[in-house]
Amino acid sequence: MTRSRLARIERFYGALGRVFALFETPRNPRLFALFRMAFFGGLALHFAPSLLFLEENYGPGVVRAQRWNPWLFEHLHDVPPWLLRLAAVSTLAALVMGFTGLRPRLASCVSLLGLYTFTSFNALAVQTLALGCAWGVLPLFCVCRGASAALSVDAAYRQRKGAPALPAPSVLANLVLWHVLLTFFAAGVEKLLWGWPLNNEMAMLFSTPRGWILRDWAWSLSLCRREEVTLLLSWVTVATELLVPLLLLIRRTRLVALVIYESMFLGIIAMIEVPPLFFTTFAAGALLILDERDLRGFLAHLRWPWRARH
Amino acid sequence: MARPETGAQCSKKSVRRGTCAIVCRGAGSGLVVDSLRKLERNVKRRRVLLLCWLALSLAGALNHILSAGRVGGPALDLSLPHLASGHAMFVRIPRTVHVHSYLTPDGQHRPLTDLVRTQGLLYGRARLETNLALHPALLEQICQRHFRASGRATTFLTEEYKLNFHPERPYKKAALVCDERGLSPSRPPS
Repeated sequence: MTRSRLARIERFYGALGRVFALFETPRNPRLFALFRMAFFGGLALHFAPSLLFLEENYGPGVVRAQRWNPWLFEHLHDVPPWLLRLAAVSTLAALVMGFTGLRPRLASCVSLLGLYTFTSFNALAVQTLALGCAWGVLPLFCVCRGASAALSVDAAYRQRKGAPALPAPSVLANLVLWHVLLTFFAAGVEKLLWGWPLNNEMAMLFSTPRGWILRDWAWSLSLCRREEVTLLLSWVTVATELLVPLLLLIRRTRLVALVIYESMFLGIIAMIEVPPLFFTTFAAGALLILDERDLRGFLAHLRWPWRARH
Repeated sequence: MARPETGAQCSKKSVRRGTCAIVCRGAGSGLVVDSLRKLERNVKRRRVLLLCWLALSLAGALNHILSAGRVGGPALDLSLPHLASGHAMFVRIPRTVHVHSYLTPDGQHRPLTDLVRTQGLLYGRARLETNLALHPALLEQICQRHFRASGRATTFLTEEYKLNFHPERPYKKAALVCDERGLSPSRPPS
């Protein structure tokens, strides 16, 4: 009985396991901890102003916009202010818990509930560009384990108690990675369908007036208004969005692709006024592609002084 | 998930939870069979979650890409919030944009976002301009709050730019006086 069952499990792991292994391989817990902190830190930065000054966006008589849940939009204006305050404090506390890795599953559920409620109540206080990814990643944190395997309060507590270490994130980390890269790739396909790179949409971006979306230093770069430069930037953007997710999957091209990817997001946040959450989610999310072998090679490449000494 | 290892030591608690990669000592006992079932169930549950998640995210990406107005495909309402607008990244810049500012008592132009308490960190101007483009009534609210806080009339300036037509200078200018009556038109400054 047991042997036949064992054989079945072996087969299960053997054939189907190879297909699923892509999403079940444990990822580096420290890199995931970096993503967790970047993600929850980005969420806290994104929402803190509107949650701290509640009456500005959620008080009686304010201009509101409906973007997410219509039922919540209709029904929340009757909620007493003390309850709203309690919800805001709980949400912010949950974000801090997520950042520090204290019960991250509970923290994610409370964060998701709170943030979705507040954005449904009034979508004006927060820009929506970055939120699509947040709604995708937070449920994963709620459902999957492994978010607090390293650099977290939970891990430190277990270590102090002498309990065995928490398992490294596998499904969670891989699905986050999938979510980030799919979004990035789909954005490239969408641009292609809108006529990029031939329509030179970048020229439009760099002809926007000062104080609209470009940062002041980027707006003052006259070089970026030249047609050949904006056309080149359009080509580079589309090529990066379409090719980099694929190149990241190949070990030999991974490091170069990652450098291009991170440079692109650094360029975006440096030149364009976008929410920091957008940057933290995407820039830290792609780092999860690095496995132990990549990291060893990468660190050896860097030849850090402390490594040389040892 | 680790593969089952023969002879691994499992505590009863970990077997009960199905978290231990089994087979424990005393193979063939009811405990082992039970925990193997749990192991299988856990793996299946995880894989169902995986498949659902992957299928949904692919459907969301395709739906968004092929939705109406782009290549004429049908736009499905997938209901889930993360599939609503997750893949749009600066696909198209609007051709007409507005920039809002106000005049300080000493006559200097300052961005309107200075008057908003809950401005976004590191992207305050872009957030305010987007919000004002989608909901112009917000300008009146900013005026009322500012007047309540400062008690003095202020001039709000709106510059309209056509990006296809001399984007380097404003196409239209408007000035509004913000006082106790709210916003009212005024002559734009030269």
